Amino acid sequence: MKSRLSAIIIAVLFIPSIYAGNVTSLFSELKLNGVVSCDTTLLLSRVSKSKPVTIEWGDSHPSHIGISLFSPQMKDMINHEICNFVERLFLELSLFPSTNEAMSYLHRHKISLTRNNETYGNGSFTNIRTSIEEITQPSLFNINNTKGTFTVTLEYGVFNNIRISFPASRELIFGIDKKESDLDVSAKLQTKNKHKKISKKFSTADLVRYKTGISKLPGNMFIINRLRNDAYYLNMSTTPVYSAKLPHESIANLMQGIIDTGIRLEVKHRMYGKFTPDFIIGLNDLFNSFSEGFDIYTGSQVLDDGRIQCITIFHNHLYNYLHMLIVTASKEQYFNSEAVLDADFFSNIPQHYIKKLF
Amino acid sequence: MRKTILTIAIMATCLIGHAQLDMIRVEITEGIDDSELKTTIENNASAMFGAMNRAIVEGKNPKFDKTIFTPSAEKEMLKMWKSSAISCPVSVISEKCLTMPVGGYQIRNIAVTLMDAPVEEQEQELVLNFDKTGRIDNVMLAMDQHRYVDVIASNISVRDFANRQMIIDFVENFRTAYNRKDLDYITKVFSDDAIIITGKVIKIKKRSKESVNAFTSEKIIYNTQTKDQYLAGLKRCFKRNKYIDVTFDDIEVLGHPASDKIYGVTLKQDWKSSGYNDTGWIFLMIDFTNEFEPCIQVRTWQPDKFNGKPLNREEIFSLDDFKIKI
Repeated sequence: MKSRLSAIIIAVLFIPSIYAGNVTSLFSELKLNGVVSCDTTLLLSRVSKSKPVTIEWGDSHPSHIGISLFSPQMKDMINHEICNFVERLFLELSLFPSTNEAMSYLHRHKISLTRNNETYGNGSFTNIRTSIEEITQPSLFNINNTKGTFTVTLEYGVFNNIRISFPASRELIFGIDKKESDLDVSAKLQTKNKHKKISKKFSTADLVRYKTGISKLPGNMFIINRLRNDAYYLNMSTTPVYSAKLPHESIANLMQGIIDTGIRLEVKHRMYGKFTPDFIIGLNDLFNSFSEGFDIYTGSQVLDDGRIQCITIFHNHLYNYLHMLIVTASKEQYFNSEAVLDADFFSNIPQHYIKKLF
Repeated sequence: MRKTILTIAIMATCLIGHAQLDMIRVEITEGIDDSELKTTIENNASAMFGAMNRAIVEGKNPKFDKTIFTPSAEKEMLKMWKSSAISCPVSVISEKCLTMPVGGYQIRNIAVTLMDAPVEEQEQELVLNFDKTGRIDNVMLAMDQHRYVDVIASNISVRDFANRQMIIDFVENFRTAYNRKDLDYITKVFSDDAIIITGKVIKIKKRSKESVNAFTSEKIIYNTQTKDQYLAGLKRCFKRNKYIDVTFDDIEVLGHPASDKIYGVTLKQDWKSSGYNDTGWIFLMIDFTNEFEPCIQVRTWQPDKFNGKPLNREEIFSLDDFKIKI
C-alpha cells in the first residue's frame, strides 16, 4: 500500500450520467485513471460540496472509492469492509441521474435504505446528495448481521438516522467481481507464509471420548453431515491424532491444518476465465492464509482407484462465500511429510443466492 | 412354545399395524365450507399417505394415483422420497384447512417420520398445499431448505457436494462474463451444438364474440438459436450497451435422474443494461462429463411474469424437457 496522500484537490470533473458499478468501473467513470495512483481524497463538486471522495489504492488498482464518511481509524475500529461499502454506496447513488434509477439499483441488489424511517424515494427522502451533505461527524454507527443480512445504522445530528440493510454478499460489499477476487486470492496464496500449523483453542474439558485412546473435539457440519470440523486428540490431551493406523481421524486433522507437517500441495487454482495457474504451497501455509475469518470443514472419501479424496471448505460466514480445496492422493502420501499432493482450488464461490443445492 | 406364541403375536400386531397404516384418514375439522371440495381434499391427502405407508411396508417406491396431484407436486414428492422415505405414523389426521391468500388451501402440522434421517431428527411435520380443485399442489416439510438438507444429508457424498459447488462456481463465472462483456469466455462455455431458447412476450388483441371491444392478452413466443446465432446477437448487445449489470437469485441445482454427469440449474436473472432491462428465469443444462471443463448444452430464458402474473413454476424449462444421450 502506498503512503496516504492527504492532498485535497478541488476538481470539477465530468461525471457521466450513467451508473458505473464496482470499484474499478466507478474509478474509470470518474475519469480518475492516470490521475490517481495512491491513497487520496478529492473534493469533486459534482458529487458533494462538503464531503470528499476517498480512494484507497491496492497493489496495482484502486481497492476502494467512496464518499468519505469515516476516518481510517474509525473504519479499523468498526469494520473496514462495511464502512467502505457504505461510502461506495453513497457515491454510487449520488451518480445516478434520477431517483428512479437509484431506487431500481437498490431494488435489484436487495438494499433497503431509509432516512428517519422514511424509505428512499418517498416523502422528503428523494435527494441523496442533500442527505449526504447533512451527515455530520461524529456519528453513531451500529452494524447488525442476522440471517445473512447486514443492517447498518448511522445516527447523526440530533435526531437523524440513516439505516441500510443489504445481503451478506461478497461482491456487493467488496465491490470487486469474481475475476478480481480470484486474482486477490491468488496473490495472497503466493506470498510467503510462516509454515505454522493452526492451533484450535479449547480446553480438554471440551473433549469427549471417541474410541479407545482417542477423544474428539466435537465440531459442526457444513450443509452435509460428511463435511465437518471435528478434531481428534490422543487420550484426553491436546496432542492431535496423526498416524497411518488411524487414517480417518488423522486425515481429518491434517486437512484442517492442525498437524505440524512438511507436506506441500501442487495447486491448480481454477480461476475465472478458465485461467488455471499452478503453484506449490505448504499445506499449512495454505491453511494459514485462511485462518482468520474462515471456518474450515473437511470430509473425505475413497475413490474407485483406492486413492483418498479430501474436500476442504473455507467458509467465510460473515460475507457468505467459500473457497474449496480438493486434494487427491494415496493414503501413504497423506502421511509422508515430504510428499507433494495434487490439489484443485476454487475460490470465491458465492452462497447467498443459492435456494436449493440438493 | 412361548417363543412361537410371542412371534405370532408380534406378527399379528405388525399386520394389524400395517393394515391400519395403509388406511390413513384425513379429516378437515374447519376452514372450508364447500363440502364437495372438502371431501376431495380429504380423499386426496388420505390417498397420498396411504400410498406412502404401503410403499414402506412393501419396500418399494410409492405408486400414487395421478389425479391426486398437480404434475409439479408429484415430482416434488418423488424427489423428497428419493432423499428419504416418509411414513405417516397415525391412522387419523384431524386438522383445520387454511385458505391461502394467493388462492388454494393448506393443511399443516401433519406428523410424519423421515425414515432415512438420524433418529433424533426423524419426527417432522409435513405441510400440504392444494389447488382450487383440491389437487395436492405442493408438499413440504415444515422446516427451511437448509434444515431439510441437514436432516437428510447423511446420504450425500462429499464428491456430490463438491460437484455442486463447482456448478455454483461455474454459474458465477458465467454471470461475471456478461458483466465484463467477456465474449471469449462465453464462447468457451457453450457446447458447439448448444440449444438456446429465448422466450419473448408479445401482446395480442382479441375481439370476443359477445363484445365489440378488443381486449389484450399476452403470448410467449419461443425462438431457438444456434450457438453462433446467439453469440452474434450477444456481440451486438455488448457493443450497444455501455454497461451490463446481471444479477442472479434463487439458484436451484438439480442432478439428472439418469446421469450423474448432467445437472440442471434454474435461476432468476435480473438484466440491467444502459439500453434494456428485464427479469426472467434462466435454465441451464450443464454437461459435467469433464468436471473441470463443464459446458452448457441448453440455455433457456423465459419472462418472470406473464399476463400480469408470475410465470407458473411448471412452465419453467427443466431437465425433463430435454432428452440426453447417455
